[in-house]
Amino acid sequence: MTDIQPAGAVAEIDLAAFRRNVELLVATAAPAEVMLAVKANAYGHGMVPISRAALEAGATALAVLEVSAGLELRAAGITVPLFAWLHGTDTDFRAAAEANIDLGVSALWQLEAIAESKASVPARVHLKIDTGLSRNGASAVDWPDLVTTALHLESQGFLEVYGAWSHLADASTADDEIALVKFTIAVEVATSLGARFAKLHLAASSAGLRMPAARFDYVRFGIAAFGISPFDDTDGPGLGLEAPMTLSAPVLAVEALPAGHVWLGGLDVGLAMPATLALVAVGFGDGVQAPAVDRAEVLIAGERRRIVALGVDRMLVDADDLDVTVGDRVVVFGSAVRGEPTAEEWASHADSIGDEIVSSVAVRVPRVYVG
Amino acid sequence: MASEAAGAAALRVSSLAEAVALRDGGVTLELLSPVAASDSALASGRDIRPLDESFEAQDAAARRDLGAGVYGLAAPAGLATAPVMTLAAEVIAVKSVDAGTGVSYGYTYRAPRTTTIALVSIGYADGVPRLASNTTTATIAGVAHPVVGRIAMDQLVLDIGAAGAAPGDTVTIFGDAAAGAATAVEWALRTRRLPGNLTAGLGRRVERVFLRGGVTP
Repeated sequence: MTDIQPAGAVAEIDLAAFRRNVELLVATAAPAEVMLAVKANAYGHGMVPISRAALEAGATALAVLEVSAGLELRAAGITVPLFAWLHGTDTDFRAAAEANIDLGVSALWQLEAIAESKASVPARVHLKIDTGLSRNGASAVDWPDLVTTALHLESQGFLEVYGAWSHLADASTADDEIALVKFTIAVEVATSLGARFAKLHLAASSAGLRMPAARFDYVRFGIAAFGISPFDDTDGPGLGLEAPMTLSAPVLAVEALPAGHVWLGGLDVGLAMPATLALVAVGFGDGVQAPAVDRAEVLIAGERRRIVALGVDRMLVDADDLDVTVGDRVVVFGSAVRGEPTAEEWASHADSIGDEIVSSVAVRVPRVYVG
Repeated sequence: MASEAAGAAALRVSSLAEAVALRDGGVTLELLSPVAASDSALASGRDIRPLDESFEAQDAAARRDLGAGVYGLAAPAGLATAPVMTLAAEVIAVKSVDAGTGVSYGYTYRAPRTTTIALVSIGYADGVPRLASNTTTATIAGVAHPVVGRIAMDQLVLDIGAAGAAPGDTVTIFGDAAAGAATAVEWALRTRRLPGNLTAGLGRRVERVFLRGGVTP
């Protein structure tokens, strides 16, 4: 570990491990390019440093979810193609077009808002077809109207129809193959209406790894780059991926306590028998997932131990017969390579997915970059 | 600031950084904060009371603290308090789907009939727990609708049946039961966490808007 301030929880991000993940994914996707997803503050890892590292490792575009995040990346000096697709009625389409942020478009109201935004340059749009996820994207019924309206606005100089895309539901291989067919048909329909797409993209981490036919021009890898498997049948290490984030916190106190009650910042903890407990400076206020706590383990003084109680700023950890002293760092989750509990283990204990474990690490936890 | 105006005597914070921010922001109340030895000068220069990490000190501080009760998330000593926070998001798409259509990742929900679904721009990275998938409701214009399919990182879906909705409509995730909303306490129960954990877990994308006298300043 690097020398980090001991006062509270820290999320250390190993950029070298992250770059190795991206290099592996870039090699897997080739000749398709990688548009790396950095939504949700790069899954909690920090959008700007992660974006720079992704580009160094061979990604050629970044998917940012929202226009505002794209503008942050432009302000940070990032010049590669950026793609934003989640729009509210207050989205600033003019700023997006003028910052060369590509827009995913699912509905007529979005096309109209882009045309009315009075941007000085045409917005580059990627039209979205719903291939079964039932979220964003035009339904097959609405698709021809979306395409013809977009082409009409293109002819008037408001926008450029640049891409077509969708999002898989990952329900089953068969469902994703049906979605692939729906996507291919939608592209043919649009082409027959006069569209000429420069870029097609459908796959995210799951199909990017296991469904070569879905790779098209871009694979939008997200969670896999953060060392977490998108599959139920293998974990990140099983795919050759490493977890770049390690969440750790210092031991603040170690006490041998009699059976009875202990208070933890408002939590009343009952001890059935005498115990030695370590008070650790991390809690649910830092993003530790409460539903996992009955089953999850942390790494303390080289051993995996159970959590006795979780408060907002602190947790109590079983420290019986451990050689632990104040200031020692406890790893909540980190890298399997070092024998630490992983975000994927925490996810299984929380009946969740690793995406939620890492993206829930709170804003107040400093991100420290190494590698 | 609101605590001070309402007559609180002291504030207990999570870290010295928070205490320093409050003092430097003009709060004059007594401030109690954990203080690492290396930072004690910073604390004493601002009249911040250090709270040591012994279990006795934690115990004493916790007993003095009103905790989640002041946020309407618990009933301290049986006193019913009003919820303070309403979590809302925006409808960003509305579409009709046929009976049998799978919704969101893994198709954990299939529409039992031809229906209308509304896509809402909030998800687990914003602090809406994924465990709430298929178990909770959210309201549009005071009408509760089930959260269907897996909650995603930044989106969730409501089955709104025959009720209408349009992009831009406000969706209340949780709030005041008196206004017809599910409460944070209910959401917390269904997602295996404390109510204060639910509200403390809201993400950076969630804008905090403070109302004075019921209106946005």
